[in-house]
Amino acid sequence: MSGARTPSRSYDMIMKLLLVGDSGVGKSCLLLRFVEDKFNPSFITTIGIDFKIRTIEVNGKRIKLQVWDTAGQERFRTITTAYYRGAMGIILVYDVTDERTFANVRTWFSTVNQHANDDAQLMLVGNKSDETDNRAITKQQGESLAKELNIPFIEASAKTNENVDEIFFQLATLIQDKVSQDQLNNDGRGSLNVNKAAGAKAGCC
Amino acid sequence: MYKSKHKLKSISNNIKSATLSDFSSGLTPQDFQISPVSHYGISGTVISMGFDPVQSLLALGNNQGEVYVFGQKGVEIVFKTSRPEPVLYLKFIKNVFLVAVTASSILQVYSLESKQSLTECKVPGNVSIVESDPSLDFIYLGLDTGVIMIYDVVKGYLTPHKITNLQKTHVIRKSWNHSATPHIDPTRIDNSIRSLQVHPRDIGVLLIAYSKTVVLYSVTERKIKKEFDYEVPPGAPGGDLTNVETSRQPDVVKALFHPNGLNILTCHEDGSLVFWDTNNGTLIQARTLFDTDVDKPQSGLFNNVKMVQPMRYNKITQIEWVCEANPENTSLLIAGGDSIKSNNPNERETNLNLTRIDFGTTPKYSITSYEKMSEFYSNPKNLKIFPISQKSSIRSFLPLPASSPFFAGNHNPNVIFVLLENGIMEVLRYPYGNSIHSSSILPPSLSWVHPELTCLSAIIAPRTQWMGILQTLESERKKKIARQNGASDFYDETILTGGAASTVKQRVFTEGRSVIISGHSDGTVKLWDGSRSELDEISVIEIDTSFGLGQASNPSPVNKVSFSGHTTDLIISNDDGDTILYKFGNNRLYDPNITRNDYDLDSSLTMKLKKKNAPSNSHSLIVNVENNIPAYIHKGFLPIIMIRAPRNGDGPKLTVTALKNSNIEFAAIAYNDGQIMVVDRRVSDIIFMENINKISSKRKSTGSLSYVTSIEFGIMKGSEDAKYSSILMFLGTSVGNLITFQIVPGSSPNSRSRFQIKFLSCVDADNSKIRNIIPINADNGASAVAKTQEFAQLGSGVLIKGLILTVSSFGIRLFKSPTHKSANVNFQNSNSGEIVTADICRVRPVNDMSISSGEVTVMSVLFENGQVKFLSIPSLNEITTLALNCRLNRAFATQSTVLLNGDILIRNDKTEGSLVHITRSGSVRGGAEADSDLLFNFELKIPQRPTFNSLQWARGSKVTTLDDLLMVFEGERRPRTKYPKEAGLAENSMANSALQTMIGGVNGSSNDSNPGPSSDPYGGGPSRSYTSSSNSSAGNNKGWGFDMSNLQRSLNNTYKGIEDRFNEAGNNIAEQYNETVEDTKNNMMKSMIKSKFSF
Repeated sequence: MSGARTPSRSYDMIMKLLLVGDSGVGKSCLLLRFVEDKFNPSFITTIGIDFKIRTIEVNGKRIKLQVWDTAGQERFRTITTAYYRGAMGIILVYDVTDERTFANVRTWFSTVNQHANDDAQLMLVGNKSDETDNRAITKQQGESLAKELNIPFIEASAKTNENVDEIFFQLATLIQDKVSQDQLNNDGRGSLNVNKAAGAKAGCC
Repeated sequence: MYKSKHKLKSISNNIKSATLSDFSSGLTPQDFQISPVSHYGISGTVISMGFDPVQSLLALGNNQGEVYVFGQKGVEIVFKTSRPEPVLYLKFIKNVFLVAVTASSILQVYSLESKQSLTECKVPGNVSIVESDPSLDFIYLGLDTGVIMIYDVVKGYLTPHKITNLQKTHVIRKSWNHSATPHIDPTRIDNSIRSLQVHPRDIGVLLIAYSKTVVLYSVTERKIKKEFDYEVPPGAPGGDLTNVETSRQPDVVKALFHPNGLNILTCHEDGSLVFWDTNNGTLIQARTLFDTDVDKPQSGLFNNVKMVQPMRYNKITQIEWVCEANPENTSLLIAGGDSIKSNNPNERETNLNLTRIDFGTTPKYSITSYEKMSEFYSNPKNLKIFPISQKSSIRSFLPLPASSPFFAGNHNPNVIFVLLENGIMEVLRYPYGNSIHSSSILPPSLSWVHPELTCLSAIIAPRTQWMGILQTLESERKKKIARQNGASDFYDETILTGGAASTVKQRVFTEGRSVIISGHSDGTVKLWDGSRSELDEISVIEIDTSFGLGQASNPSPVNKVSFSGHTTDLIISNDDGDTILYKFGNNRLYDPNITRNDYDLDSSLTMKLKKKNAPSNSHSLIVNVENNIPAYIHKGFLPIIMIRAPRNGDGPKLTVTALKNSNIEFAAIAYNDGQIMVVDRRVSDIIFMENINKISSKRKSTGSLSYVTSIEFGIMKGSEDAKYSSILMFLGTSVGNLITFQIVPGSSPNSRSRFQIKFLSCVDADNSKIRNIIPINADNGASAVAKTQEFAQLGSGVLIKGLILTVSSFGIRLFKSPTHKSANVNFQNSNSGEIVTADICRVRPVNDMSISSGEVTVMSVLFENGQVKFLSIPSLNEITTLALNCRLNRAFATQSTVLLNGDILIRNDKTEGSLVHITRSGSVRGGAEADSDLLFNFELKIPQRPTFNSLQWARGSKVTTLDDLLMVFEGERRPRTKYPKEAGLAENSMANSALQTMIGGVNGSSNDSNPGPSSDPYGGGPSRSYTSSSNSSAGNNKGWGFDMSNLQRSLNNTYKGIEDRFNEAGNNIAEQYNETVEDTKNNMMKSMIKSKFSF
């Protein structure tokens, strides 16, 4: 898969995704690799939130991914939690070379659970998997934490582009499955009814 | 004045103090006079902002009818509107005018030259928008009825011309023609003007936004050129995914021009941002902050239940089309539209962030297609959200353009001022998005509103030490600039460069300098020279505690600060209960290659600091923080140790209730549980820890714990019959005890210090908390506060008899010694309310000739009602009472300080303070008006406004001139200006050739070498567009003066300026205007001459 952007005019579905995790774990790098297929080795702090879009195709459906890349720094934490609202997928990122960032995943997990929608799909990602010499967290440790939190897990490297697309495609597939399951459950109600209900709330114009 | 009760008390005081000599002898009421030295901060709440990039002045309006104008360093002038009501709009016009519009639509014109109000006007109607352009003489006033009025600022009158509500006819026509909008009842719609913009390339064209439509209007032709109506068809998501099954026409919030004028943007209440072709009204792209093509029906949406959930975002409250030096590189800066609204209807909608959509370089209009343009607007280079505040919603933001005043004030800003609803200001570096809190680059008064001031105090510092520090830092700064070959760092220059500070030395120099110490919510501490107007260079020192604490990412607000000018060291406590000790010196870790900017933008440096200093022993109260200093600081206040608040097990975190850094290298820290800690700074070690409740609990049985509220160190005899003097530490408590400890030589088992501390006495001084303790030398009335000199003499057995004064909210007591059980003299006052602060001053009586010219001592007492009483020492008799010319808010006034040199620092409110002097002899020279700061610099000229290229003229579209507009608004018979001097300055405010004054220029630096053949009317590439319309010879317009000696020359120059303008106009406009031009020219010549001779 290439990082080339596809025209975004038509799509079947919008998904709002969020990247969270400690400062410096490589959230922005993963996003830059996924959307623009680039890698920048120098560390530039994300101030606030960066936002990028890429449209992908999963199971024949065109899905427009809106990805919010949040600042890991503590002083932005209260601000960024406001953006958890409405996110359909949340990617918890840690750095396999930094023990602390792995330990903090639990804190991120509980923050996410506190602020995000109940049905948001989570995913655990261990970034910088290329750094074999400095590795502090094994793949097994990552797997067992993911198992404990009951969320899927991937190790990736934004630098070597290993597994980067997989993160987003896998997450999008999981969300899509969830949504179609919901749709089956809600089959009694037609979509038009839902539209009307939504309209009643807004009172536009 | 004197009541009999007072007299009686005075007599009894006199009897009691009979044994003491009078230290206030010779002082009479005539010796006292309250004169202002400086004013700090801003009163009320700031609600409006304005900026003039040519003069580089910032204006802030508050909710009480005051307008503050700031320039470089301390330049500051305050204007008042005729009524104390909110100032809603501020606009700088024609270099020399500042226009303010208040809540009741009173328009007020001020002169930046004379710093006076020129005229005012009650606008008939409610002003909902104020728009102007630096090249225009007038401002547009949009009313809530949809009518636009025109006020001629240069002449000072409301022109008879009005632009009628263009929406009315439009809506009626629409409801006739358009069956899809049956809901609109023409009588019930909002007619107010939502926004108004002058075309960036043609002053004759306006973009007017009403709630239901956006209109491109030609002022000279008096007709609508284009209408822009946004409609979301059924099945399209729209801005908020509501009512998707129907057709929608979301209300307009604002309409903007692209800086090249070729595209426009309409912003709607559903969050839609719609881009149009200005010329033919084609819709190019409709998007929201995060979504694109929201006007395109998406069949897929309806197959999915999830998708039609409304995604309602907070409302967009402000949007600006910002460009870089090359105006083809643009981005949108937006407040609102970024966060999904909560489902809780009671939750107030807040805008806490700014969003930047960076589009990059605009494709060439001549060679691009709508398809390409749509792609361009839907795929920005970058989308970023800048967090601004976590507490208060954004009221408005103001970009500070660096390249020109045009393009709606958005030409290449590198700083954005953001005003919050609570009146606090944030300053953002653009386009990085990081907050700037450095006071050296902002006007000093802004430090009171940005970031929030959490504590304030003042001390007297010895002149040599204090000026030494300031000069060291200044030479550091100069060296750094020299090292960078003259290129200054962002943090080395003030953002505002306008105006000139008054150069008159305002007061007599004294040995002691008043130093003002402020602590801020972002963890910074600032030390200010109290009489900054006397200093040419930097007069503020900034200390960022977040580095010292290794918590740069989440600083804790400063709670107390104590600074010793004698030893140049400093102690700071914060809301977490942590205390850091600083000392002025050289940074070992200094690296000239690292800048402050590196720390701001690359947090790995900060993280390195953090890791390096992670406290190793988490149980120790003392943490070494010597390495917690960023490498860009060479010389400055460096952190030495941090002291953690002692905790009892899992008990709540303690807070610091009193803090004192003595002049003899002892520091004391008091906590809210009654603990007191003494640190010997020589060895950076705690030498004493005790809880005062163990000492005084027997005397006070209030039940709750008492704590220390004030600390002072003195050198005097411990008791009246003591044979030697010693260092005494006085503690005032929350229940009115005065506790004294003695610091004596000796070694303690656990410390390297050569001193130990012994309890001396505890006396009942008052019934309420002790605010201040003042030790006095009983032989000469001078202060007996511990200083290095006396400390050095201790060894030689110097004997200092002492007196101690205690100040509480309700009275002042005098003790002959710390061991005396009861006060010898009392002062109580019930007329003026509570005492907010009191201390002694050393002053020189003016009239008394009998006394040898020595200084005497007086007690200055500041009361909550704004009165200052002067009491004699030691009898505490009232000499006189004076009133301050300001109201005090008691919650903040207790942070006021009386200084020994006769200065009083007053904090009258949260964001406002002042420094006054109390004696006639040391009073401020000259009136405040006589030597106030200058604002207006007539050498700075407004550059030529960018226009379309000559190719377009050749095709027949003429460029509108100012005179064309004045002809429409005012006709041929125009009134004379009310203020010829300012009008003359305004006439000369335009540069004769483009780009004369502003750096960067307004023309696009495009290198489009192949514009290609084009059939559209805007043909050619931007490379050849936007050339100046000026075809006159550029005159020398520097140094036009107005003094009589230069009259002839200035008349010539002024006239030439006008002639140039009219020649220019004459060449550009059609022939029929020529006659008028000649007439006007003559009239103006006449009025010019009149103004020169003040007829």
